[in-house]
Amino acid sequence: MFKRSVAISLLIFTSSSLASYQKAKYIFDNGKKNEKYYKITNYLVEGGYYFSALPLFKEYLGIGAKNLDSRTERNLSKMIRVSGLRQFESLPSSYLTRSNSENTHYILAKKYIHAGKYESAMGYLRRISSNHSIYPYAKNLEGVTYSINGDYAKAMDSFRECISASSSDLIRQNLNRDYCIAGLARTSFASKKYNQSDLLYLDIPKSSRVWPEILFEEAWNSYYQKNYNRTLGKLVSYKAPVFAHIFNPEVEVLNALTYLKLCLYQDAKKVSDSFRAENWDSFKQMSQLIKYKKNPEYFYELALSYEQFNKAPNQLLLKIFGSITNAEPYLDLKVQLKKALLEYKKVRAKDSSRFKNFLVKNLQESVSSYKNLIGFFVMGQMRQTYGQLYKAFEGMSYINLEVLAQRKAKLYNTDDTSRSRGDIKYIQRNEKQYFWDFNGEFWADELGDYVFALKSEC
Amino acid sequence: MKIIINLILFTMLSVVYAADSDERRSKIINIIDQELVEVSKLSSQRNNRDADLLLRMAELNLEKARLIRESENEAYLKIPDKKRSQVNKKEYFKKSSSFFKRANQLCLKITRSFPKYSKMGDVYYILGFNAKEANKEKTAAKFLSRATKKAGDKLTRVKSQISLAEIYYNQKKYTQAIPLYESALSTHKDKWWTKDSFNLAWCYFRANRNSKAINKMEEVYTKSKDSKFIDMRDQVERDIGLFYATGNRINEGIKFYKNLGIEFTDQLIKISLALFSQGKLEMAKTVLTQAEKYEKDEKKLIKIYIEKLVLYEKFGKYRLHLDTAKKLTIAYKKRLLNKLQETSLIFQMEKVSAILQRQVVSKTYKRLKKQRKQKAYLAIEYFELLSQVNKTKKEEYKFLKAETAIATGLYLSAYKYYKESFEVGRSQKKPRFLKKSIDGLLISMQKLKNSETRNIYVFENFLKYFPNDKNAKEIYTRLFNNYVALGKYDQAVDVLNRYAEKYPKSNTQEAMIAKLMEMDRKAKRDNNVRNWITQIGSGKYLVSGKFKNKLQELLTSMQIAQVQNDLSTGKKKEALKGYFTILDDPYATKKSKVNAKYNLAALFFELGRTEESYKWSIAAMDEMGPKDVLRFSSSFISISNFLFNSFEFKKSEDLSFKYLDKVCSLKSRFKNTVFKNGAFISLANGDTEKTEKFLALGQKCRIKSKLIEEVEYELTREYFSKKNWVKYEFYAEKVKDSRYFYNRVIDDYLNLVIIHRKYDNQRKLKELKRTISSLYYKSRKNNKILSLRVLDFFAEVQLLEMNKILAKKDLVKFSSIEKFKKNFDLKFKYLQMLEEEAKKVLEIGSGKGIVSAYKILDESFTRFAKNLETVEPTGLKKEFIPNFRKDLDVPVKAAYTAAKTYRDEAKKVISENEILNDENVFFQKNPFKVKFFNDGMGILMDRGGF
Repeated sequence: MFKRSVAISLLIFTSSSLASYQKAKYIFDNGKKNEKYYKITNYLVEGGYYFSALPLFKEYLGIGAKNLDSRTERNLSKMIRVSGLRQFESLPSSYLTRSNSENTHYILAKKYIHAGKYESAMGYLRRISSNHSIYPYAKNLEGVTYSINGDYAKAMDSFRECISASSSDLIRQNLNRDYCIAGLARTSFASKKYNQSDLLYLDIPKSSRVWPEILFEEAWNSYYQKNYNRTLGKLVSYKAPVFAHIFNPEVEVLNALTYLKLCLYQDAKKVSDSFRAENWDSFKQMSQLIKYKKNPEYFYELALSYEQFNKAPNQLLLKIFGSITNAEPYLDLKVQLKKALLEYKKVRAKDSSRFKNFLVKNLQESVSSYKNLIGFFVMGQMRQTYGQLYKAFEGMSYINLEVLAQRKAKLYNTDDTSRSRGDIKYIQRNEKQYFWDFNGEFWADELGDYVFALKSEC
Repeated sequence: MKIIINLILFTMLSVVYAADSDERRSKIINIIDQELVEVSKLSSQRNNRDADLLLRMAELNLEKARLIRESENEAYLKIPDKKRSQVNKKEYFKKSSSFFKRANQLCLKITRSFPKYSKMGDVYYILGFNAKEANKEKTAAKFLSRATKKAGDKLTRVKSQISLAEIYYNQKKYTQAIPLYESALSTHKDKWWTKDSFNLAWCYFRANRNSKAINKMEEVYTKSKDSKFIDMRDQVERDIGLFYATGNRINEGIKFYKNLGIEFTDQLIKISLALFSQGKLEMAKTVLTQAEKYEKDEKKLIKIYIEKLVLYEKFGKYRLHLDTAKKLTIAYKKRLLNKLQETSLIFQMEKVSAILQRQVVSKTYKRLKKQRKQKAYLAIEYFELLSQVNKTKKEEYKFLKAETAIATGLYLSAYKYYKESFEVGRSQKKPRFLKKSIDGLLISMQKLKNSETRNIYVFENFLKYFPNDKNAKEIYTRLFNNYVALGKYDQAVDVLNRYAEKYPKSNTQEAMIAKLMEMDRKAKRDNNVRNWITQIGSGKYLVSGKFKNKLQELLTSMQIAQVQNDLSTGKKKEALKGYFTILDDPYATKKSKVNAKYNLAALFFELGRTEESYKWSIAAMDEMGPKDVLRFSSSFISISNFLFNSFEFKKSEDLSFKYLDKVCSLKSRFKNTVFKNGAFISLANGDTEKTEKFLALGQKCRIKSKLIEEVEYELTREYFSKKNWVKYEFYAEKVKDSRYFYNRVIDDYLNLVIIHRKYDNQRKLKELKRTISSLYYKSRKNNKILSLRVLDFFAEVQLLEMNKILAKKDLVKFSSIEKFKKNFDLKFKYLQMLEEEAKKVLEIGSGKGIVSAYKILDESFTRFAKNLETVEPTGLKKEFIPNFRKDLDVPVKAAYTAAKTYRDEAKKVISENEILNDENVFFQKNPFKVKFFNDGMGILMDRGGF
């Protein structure tokens, strides 16, 4: 009796999405226990119910003994594309190795890189074919791995391959390309080819989302080129309102350090003092937060509160949250969470059934996992920033000490306090730079091109 | 991005100069404070677990401490000297000390919390540096030593090595400082290199590595020309000469200084002066010695010698000082010294000699005899040299020589030097030390073994130059004695005559003459003696009357000596003649005459001549004092015994009496013997009068009472035999009260009873009997022996008592049967009383009494028994008589037994005690009883009993 009715219903549902849902429902109700996960997962993905399938898919990867078949592989790629890599990064490698897909190879490569197992990572990355959509990202990852290992030539090749592979107009691929350009510049910097690095950085368009953070790296590059006026010029760009969301404590450290290099001790001290005055108390408060709050949900709520009400426990955290919430991964996770919520609405609209209830639970789990991921991300970012701040304060202290030491040395010897500043002859430029006078205003197209003209007092 | 901050800490500090130092210092301190705040922040950010930051804080604290210490020092030094001494220094440097302490605490924390810290060298360096600043050299050395071992970077190691080397340098541990300096200076060349190398050169020098020291100095000199280094050329120029000199590299030194246009000898003198002023006397000496070796010019040598003199004087090296002074004295004699040098030489010699002389007489060296002598010898040599250099004071120096010698106990030398001084003095017109020298000669002479020749020199000179000195009188005497000692009679007489002339009233002349006469006597120059007597008589010399007598005695003794000589050689005849000559000599003294009389008595005693022996003994004793008599007691007693044995009782008795009379008041054991002998001889002579005289003398001379009592008892007996009853009773009375002989006199009292009985003087008799009884009981009590006569006398008295009781018993008769018991008891009671009385008789111990007592007892009991056997009381019926007899059977038997027992006892007592009594017969059983007859009652019998 039951079998006969399923057959009748299968004949009725002809629309693919609807059909997949019905098929999944049929299997849920009637399928054999050992094939339930496989079939339901595949039907749901094929029907566009990615977030409903997400917990099931993770579970299927965990319990299945065999390698995935082509249908499941195809559906897993779809799943990663929609739900993001992060959902699978947290899975054990043994689950992922069941998959032969290039997506899982990519995930595994990332995991191994995090674990410092570069050889294993490279093995998986090489298995990704050039026609696969994840290939440009894999090349980026490959370039980074080579760079970490000091194999700069191969790193440069990988980044170049990444750049050429990232030819699509997709935003994501454009971003990947810019990162790979930055990768080229960073590799040159690492191999102490500062002039080459300088030119490569300039290849990143100001419109790129990467550019704001690259500006800081350019400043360092100039510093190493002993082009301190340019370093100061690069760093002053961060004061433009357009970069209000960027918070990088090292910017101020480099600023002070550059003044120090120019023997402009009072300026160096001023930067250091104002940085400490501005951030020290908030930093102490932040340290308490980091120390005692371990729950990701708390950080998710903090981020949500910031986004909804532009609110944070202190000014420093306000800046940090501005920076975190503009970060690419955060934005990705937020999009994925929204999609999950949309799917949730869709499923809730279905007729009541055991299967529906089953899917609602799955979706709740997915949403919750996204919130956690966002929470963890925020927490991680905050800790990272905390570490940066910690180092920055230390750096500032050392700079202050150096300033004091220099002052003291002068007192022990002679005390010449006369100084003159701002002289064009101290400016060094290359062919890609234009000289702009900085009049205290920021013009969008001028950003990153300011150059100071201070005379070294050393 | 880590900024490594290395402090260029300590070397920079010295650049903070005084002018604007305060302002600059406060600015620097302000910066340090800011640095401290910054580092503290960093450290607290890292929970104080970063050793680098702790070290940095320590460095900053140290830097601050040093800056504050600088300003504190300046302020402290600005305080006026007087006020500064009252300031609490610790309080003044309190602030800087607190920062030093803080730095130390931080470093110690690092050592505890981060034992493997890579910059531990820096930590230890700070600890060491701080300790060094706080003058804790031992601690500083410990930490710096660790710093050199642990130092990670070169600069720290070098700094630690240099600091540690400086500590060793200051502690004079040069061999330990050398490797540290060498290691540090071989790799590190900052501007201080020259200064540290200069120290290293000194270390080499101190470690006797002269060659290295010189090389290093030369290197320092060369480097000092470079403005990169601290200029040490002045110091090198100052010191390198010393190195050359000490290293025996004079030629190089000359070359070195020549290049600089400096005269070497002058430089060496300069060096020595500098060393000298620093108190480095040994080195100064070495430099001058080298200069002396090098210098050939005599005049320049004198300069060196003069410097040496000064040096050795300060050094206290007086032997070397003297040697140099000797060299200068030779130069002086060659007229090489200028006036200033001459003055300097004299000043130096006078100074040192004075010091030495003071030391010689000081308490310090009193026990250190060897050192004291050495110093004295040195001083003496100085004075001798001075006497050669400064001739105007020659006499004084010679005298001081002598004074030094005498203070050291070098008396012979002192004598010699005083003599020198005296001789120099008397050759001068106005000697200053002539008298002192002669006095010194007198003192030193006293300490030396007597030498008449020396004495005579001194005394004659004394009397020559100081005839009126207060000691001249004594000196004459001593001079006289010395001549006498040498046997120089004529010179002695000359002195006597000079003396007598100068001191006519001095009685010392007498002693002098005595000595001269003694010389005459020994030489048997009797004529000279008579000559002296004549001269004294003429008044040439002043002598006492006593002395005059003594002179006569001398003559006598000269004569006696001859007689004694004859006697000792057995020439008795010549001796007798000699003694008689003395007795006839009108000049002979009493003593010599007594002596002659005694010797005559002794001689005649030896010859067995009683008459002469007695005569001269009496004559000698007549003139002798008691003590002399006592001295010759044994001789006189022997002579007395000799006279007694020669039957010359009267003479013997006289001699004893004379002797006792002479020695009466003295204590002597001979007195008792002589008394007893004399008294008994007189008794034996029957000379009771003489005996009584002996007794009187005995009492006076406290002869033992026992002896006196004995003589008195014997005298009593003598008077009994002479029937002089008055004297007899008189002496009996005396003996009665004696201590030892009262028991013996009872017999005499019994005699007196008999005597007085003749005159029927009852009162006297009663008195005598009472005395007898009293003496008897006293004797019994004291267990004294009593004569049989006395015992019998008392037994008789007791027996009378027994006879009375016996009579009473016999008076009791058995009358009626009713009174039988009463009569029986009464009779029995009397029997018991008899027994009691008999016991008393037995106790007396008289044989006669005992036998009589037993007899009475025997008879009484026998009679009593017989009476009972036969008695028939009135009123007793006949039929009861047998029973009555039977009842009395037992008492009868008992009475017989008692009688028998007494009889047996009597026999036993008679037998055992050999009692001879006329009552003995009573107890004999044989039918022919032998009766004993008492003294005066017996008759002579032949063998047949007829």
